[in-house]
Amino acid sequence: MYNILICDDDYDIVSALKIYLSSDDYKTFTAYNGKRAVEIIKENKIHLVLLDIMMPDVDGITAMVEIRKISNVPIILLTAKSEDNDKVLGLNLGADDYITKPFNPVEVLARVKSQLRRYMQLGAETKPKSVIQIGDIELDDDAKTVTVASEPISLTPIEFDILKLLMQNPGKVYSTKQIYSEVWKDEPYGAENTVAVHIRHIREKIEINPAEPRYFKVVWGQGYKMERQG
Amino acid sequence: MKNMSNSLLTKVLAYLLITITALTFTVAVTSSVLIKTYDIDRNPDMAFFKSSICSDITTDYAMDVYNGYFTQYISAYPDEQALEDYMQYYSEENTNFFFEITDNSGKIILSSYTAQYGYKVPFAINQGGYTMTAYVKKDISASDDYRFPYNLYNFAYKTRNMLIPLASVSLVMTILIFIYLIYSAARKKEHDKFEPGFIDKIPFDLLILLIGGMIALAVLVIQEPARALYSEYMYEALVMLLSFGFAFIFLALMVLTVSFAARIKLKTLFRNTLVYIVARGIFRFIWKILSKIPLIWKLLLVIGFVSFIELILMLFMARGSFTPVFFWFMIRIAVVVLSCFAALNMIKIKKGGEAISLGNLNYRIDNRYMLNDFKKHAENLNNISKGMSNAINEKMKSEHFKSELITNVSHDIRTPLTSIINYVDLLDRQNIDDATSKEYIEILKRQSARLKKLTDDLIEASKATSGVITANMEKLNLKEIMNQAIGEYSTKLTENDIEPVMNDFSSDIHILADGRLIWRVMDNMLENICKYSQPGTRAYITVEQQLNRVRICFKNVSKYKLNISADELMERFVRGDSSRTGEGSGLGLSIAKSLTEIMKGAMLLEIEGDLFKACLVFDKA
Repeated sequence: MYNILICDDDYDIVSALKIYLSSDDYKTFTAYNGKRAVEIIKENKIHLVLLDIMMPDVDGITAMVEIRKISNVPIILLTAKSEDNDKVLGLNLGADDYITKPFNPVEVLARVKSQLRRYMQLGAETKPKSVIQIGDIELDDDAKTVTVASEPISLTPIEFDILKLLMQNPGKVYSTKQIYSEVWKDEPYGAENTVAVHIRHIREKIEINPAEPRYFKVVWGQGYKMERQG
Repeated sequence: MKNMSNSLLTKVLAYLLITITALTFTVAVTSSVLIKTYDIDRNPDMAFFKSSICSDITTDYAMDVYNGYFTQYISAYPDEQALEDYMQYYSEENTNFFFEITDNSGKIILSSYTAQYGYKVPFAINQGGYTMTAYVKKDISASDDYRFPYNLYNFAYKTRNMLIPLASVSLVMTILIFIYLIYSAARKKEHDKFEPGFIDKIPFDLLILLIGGMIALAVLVIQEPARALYSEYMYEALVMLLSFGFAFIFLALMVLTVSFAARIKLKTLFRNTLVYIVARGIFRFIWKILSKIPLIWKLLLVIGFVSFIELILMLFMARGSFTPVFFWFMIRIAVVVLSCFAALNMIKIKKGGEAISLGNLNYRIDNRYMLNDFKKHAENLNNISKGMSNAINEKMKSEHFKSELITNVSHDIRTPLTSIINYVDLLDRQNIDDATSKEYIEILKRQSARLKKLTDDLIEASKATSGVITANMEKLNLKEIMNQAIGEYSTKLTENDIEPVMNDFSSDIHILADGRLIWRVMDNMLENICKYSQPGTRAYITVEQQLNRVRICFKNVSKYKLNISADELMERFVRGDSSRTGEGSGLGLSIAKSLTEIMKGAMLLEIEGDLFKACLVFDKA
């Protein structure tokens, strides 16, 4: 049972989020401005904050700076602005994730779950050597299984090999040609485009929003990489 | 006239016919003149014998007889064989000429045959005590030099009443055919338009020279033989020769005249002459040189040339007096200085004008040291560029304002939209049994998703056009991009039953672009293909290398009738389906185009029937 604080100046959005989160067995607290949010965090044990940026009086960014002074709680920013520099600013000032309005409720729930899991398990149990973990993705090379936020994911052998290759070297960019010769153990001879198709399928399986991947990123004109995280 | 006109065959026939009629006319007129001159009509019997031709021929025969035959006859040692020949030659069968030679006493020494009817030619040789009388046989029964002219005279007499009508008819015909030829000049059978024939293309002065030369040559060639034939009394051949000569010259002149008419119709009389062509060439050459050299040199050249001529005239007229030359010289210096100053002003203004016309609106012409009129002109130019740059600034400002407005409004729309999407989803999660309500909720879901997409696209489009986005240009592998992009769309393409076909191209083509932006462009292009392609068709994606650019083309068959132009399609909010029932916002192509342009690329659209083709052009890295 986790406590989640929802802070937005729009009453309807707060109640909608409240309904979704309650139905997934979270306990919710609500605030309609930044000031109240900081107060709630001081008074209660909060496990995660959903924070709107544009609010009257104390805005989301200011509130977040205040919260960071007293707590390490995961903060997901809700923003109507989709400009990249807003996201970067938010992440730099201590946010753990952001969701752009108008958001899809399923995505919100998935991200909340993912953040909570990371927060609660941070530095917990030690994993066996055959397990590679990046963010909330776990790949067990011995068992040939992959889980995302503890949910098992079914991948084809080729997809598994591609994911393993990229997770072994997070941050490194692999071109389709390299991926092909590493995974298929063969010269591509113009078959590189199949790699792109497989990668798209993997992304659809492991990413919450495949169009805006957090782990498995496309480096356009160069290749693909696994984001180094945690 | 029109139907039969203008074919080459008719024209050739007309030329032949007009030659014949003209010849007939000439002959008829000449004959009439002859008839009048020799009184043939009044005294037909005697006309020939009184003619100079008759007396000329007689004289020739008489001289031959006297100097040859008679001399031989009276010589001490006559050549018997020659005498025999003469006798034979001047027999009644062979000649119409007969004679008597008497001495002073009247005794006949030598005579030929004597015809019953003879005309005594008024001619006598009275020499060395001998007198010769010559006659011509009246009936001209023998075939000798008299025969053809005599026949001609007879013929002329017989035809004397026909000559005038013949002349008139042939004249009328000549004129008619001439009119036809003039009319049909520069006309061809199929066209109403004037068109130059083969001859009309030859420069006119050259044509005159050619035809003149031909006529002169013909005259030269004919002259000698004609003279010879005339003196030999070979009139048949002479008439033939003269007729041919006449026909040739006439024909040549006709060709020239018709071509002249054609040129007047075509208005190329002066243009299509060697003189004109050469003069124009020289003029153009000079003009080219003049336009190449700078204004100030042009001016000095002209002034120098004029001054030179003036100086020579002055020196001639001043005759040693120094004062006028000195004054002239001073004035000339003043003119040169002033002209150079004006030319310098002009150059400055020209430069300014060029800069402004090339779009440099911040250029200002320095008009501090300018003559009054030039100063005014420079100021006007400056004002124009100032006005234009103001207008452009205004336009940019309003464009920026517009895009900011769109962004703000879209942001404001997002918050209520979030609630709508969420509550529709919540409604959907309620266990509603009513089928109609479920259907309504589905519609709400679909439409709110569409609204979301629209606002996203709107923000993107306004960002792309307002210059907020800057491209981070780097070297990108094109094959990788294309594979990645098509890979991203593999599922969606399959869902829409579209088979992507990519051509095989080198895997080391690199382009200069921004990776994220180019993905947004590809995203829009492929999204378009998915949305607007006819299911079950192929989409062709081709990469072609050009000299230092790369061309990426997307070709697909449209689902909807594309009855709008490519330019319109690129406009914001314009879509191929005029009913606008599909899911698109109509911003995709506009966004792709703007983003491509931010990356210094270009996007071109082509529509052919239902075939839609979009090409992106990027610089090679």
